Amino acid sequence: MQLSTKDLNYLKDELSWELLAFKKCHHYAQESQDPQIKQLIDQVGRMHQQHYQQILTHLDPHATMAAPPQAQAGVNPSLSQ
Amino acid sequence: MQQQNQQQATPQQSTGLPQVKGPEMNDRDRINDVLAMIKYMNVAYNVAVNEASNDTLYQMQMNILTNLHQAQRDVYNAMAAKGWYKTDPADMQKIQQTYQQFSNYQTQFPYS
Repeated sequence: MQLSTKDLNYLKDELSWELLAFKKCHHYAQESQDPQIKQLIDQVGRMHQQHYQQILTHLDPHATMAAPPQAQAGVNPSLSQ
Repeated sequence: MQQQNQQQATPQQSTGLPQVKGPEMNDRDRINDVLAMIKYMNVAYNVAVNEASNDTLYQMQMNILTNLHQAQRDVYNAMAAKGWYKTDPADMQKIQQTYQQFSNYQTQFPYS
């Protein structure tokens, strides 16, 4: 897939945000006392790591650009809807 | 962006937070930071989505943005349920006034 310079710059930024996000969530989840908060932050962290992997797929020169994995919608289905 | 989630003294809540708060981060600080982070990323991804050069990238980033919106809502709901995110109701009279003011602008509507 052809990427513009601008696309690449955004994707790099996004990877950096996602990386920091899931490292932070992992750290916070370990520190949290309330099991509900712990679980919620952990789920948010997992979502960010999935996003990271998803974005990375689009930068892989050897990837067959078939169907990139769809990340799950929402982090806490029990709380939404 | 409105920040209504400052820490307030809410002694009636049994939230598992320490009664006397020290400088160290507690659960409420952590979840608040996660919320702020997601809200920042929502804005940032929105800009990226607007400028994606092709549909595949647009869809991928749009999909992430949707996930982030849902996550933001989940975190907000969890905080609200714990009484960590209080909102104050708008003045009824001001709502009435605003309704009246903008109802009067119907004379300006170009579409019938």
